[in-house]
Amino acid sequence: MHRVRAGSGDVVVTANGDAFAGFYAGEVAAALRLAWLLTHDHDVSRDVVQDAFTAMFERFDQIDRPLPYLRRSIVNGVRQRARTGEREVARMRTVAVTSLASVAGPTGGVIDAVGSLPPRQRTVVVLRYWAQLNDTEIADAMSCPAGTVRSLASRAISRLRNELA
Amino acid sequence: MTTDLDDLITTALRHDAQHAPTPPPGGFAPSQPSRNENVARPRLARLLGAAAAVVAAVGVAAVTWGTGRSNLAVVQEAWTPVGVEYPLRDLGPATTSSVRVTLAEVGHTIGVEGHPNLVVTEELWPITLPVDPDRQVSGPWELIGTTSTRHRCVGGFCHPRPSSDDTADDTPDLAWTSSVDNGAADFNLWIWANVPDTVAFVSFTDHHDNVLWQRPIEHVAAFPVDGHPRAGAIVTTYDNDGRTLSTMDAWPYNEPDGEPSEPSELPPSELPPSVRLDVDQARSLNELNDRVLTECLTAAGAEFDETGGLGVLNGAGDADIIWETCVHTTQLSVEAVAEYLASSPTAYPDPDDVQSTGPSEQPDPEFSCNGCDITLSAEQAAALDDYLTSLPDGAT
Repeated sequence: MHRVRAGSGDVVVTANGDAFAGFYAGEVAAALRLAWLLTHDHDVSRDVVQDAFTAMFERFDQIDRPLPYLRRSIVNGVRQRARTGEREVARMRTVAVTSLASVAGPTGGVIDAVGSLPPRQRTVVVLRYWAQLNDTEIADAMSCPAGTVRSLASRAISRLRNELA
Repeated sequence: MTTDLDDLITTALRHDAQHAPTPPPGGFAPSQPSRNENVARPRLARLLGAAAAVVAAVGVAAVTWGTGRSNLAVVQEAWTPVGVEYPLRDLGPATTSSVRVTLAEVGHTIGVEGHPNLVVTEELWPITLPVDPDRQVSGPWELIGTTSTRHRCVGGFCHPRPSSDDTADDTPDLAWTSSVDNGAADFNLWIWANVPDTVAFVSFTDHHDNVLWQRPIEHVAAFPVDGHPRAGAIVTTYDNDGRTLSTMDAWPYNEPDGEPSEPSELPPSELPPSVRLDVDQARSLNELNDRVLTECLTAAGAEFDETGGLGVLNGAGDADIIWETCVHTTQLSVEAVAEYLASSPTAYPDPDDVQSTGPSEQPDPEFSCNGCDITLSAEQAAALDDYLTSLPDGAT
């Protein structure tokens, strides 16, 4: 099959028939953006995305829905790094301070506010507003119930509203 | 319901996402491992295997990805954009004409993955436009140029050929095919008909950030889309070394809410209005254009298909030289007639100014380009003499 569909999350099959190659090429940029928005760290973003794709390559033939799988891998990767290293934890907590240079401009205040959210609230906000996922898809990516997503979103929005008022 | 805060957050995150790290150029790794390999492999080997699926690369440049960890040294060939290649194929001369006379050898047929072939032609059009687009049949028409101009036609859409191909154009001439019209593909095809010469690669990023890229062929780039490109979709052009030449909206006709809209049927003309024509005059001018061009090409050895639109030289001569000569000859002939018309009384009365246009100013009902009394400049006369003497015996 030689199918390339723009604007979808489908597996992209390239002319040489390698589905993984097409998927990687089509999704790597968005994957890096997601990781960046969750961590605000270029190195960590690259590492998390690299790990996610590497793990997927090993079992790509068995993955029915690669895009949700990739998102879940990135979210998990970011969370694991936050848990396992003091350096990463510190980086996550101080993102608003350390990343000012990259969030200058009229929207910088919003990014600072998002960066100051607890990691899980921040993840919900990024997946909802940047990735445009619904609650069910966010729940899938975060491996939690949809009710938890709504609760996290409500708290995050309330906090952002107060911070930006 | 979307609130201002929602919009603010969305906008801020999209802006911030632009600061994300970029993928390694061309992916990473040179060799393809076996997917069924059960032996546990070191992480580096697994990474190389994964990367091999991304790039079948041979080359010499080394890149790294991943600061503070394994610092993978990999190889890559010449630069290519990030994303999935959606290649075009040059399949040789044009096989059909669009709407007017052309020469197969100056056109091209381009193969597009999953889509019927695109035919690219160069055609010659007198510049006449209907004054009222809703009354194209009954006229009046307006002659807005002094001679015929070259158009590039791609996928059924024709655009004036740019005067210079060596600069990046931030208002690309666009065409498209629909999945209904093309009858075969399950996607629409977005076509940029006049990619500048300096562009080596064109990438298309849709509103979901999926990226396709290709090497343009004969100034044409074409990408599959679902409907029209949406707001946020962009096109980026690069030179051979990966330097960005231009970035532009993929579809300049999107409304502010992101909904696509159709472009206007006719671009506003920057050419000075010359004279209004009735239907017969407009038709005569077009017939003159096509007849002179057809006769010139035939005299040079071209054979025309049954539609009369596509001439084929089949090695009878240098296609480019013959085409250029015949285009020039045709333009001189059309110019002579256009100048005659422009110097004549108003050919067709302005409906809003009937009082000032008396019966004596009505056009000659017997006017036709074959019979009109035209005055040629010395250059025009010489060109027409050359043209007429070049015709085979009996052609005149």
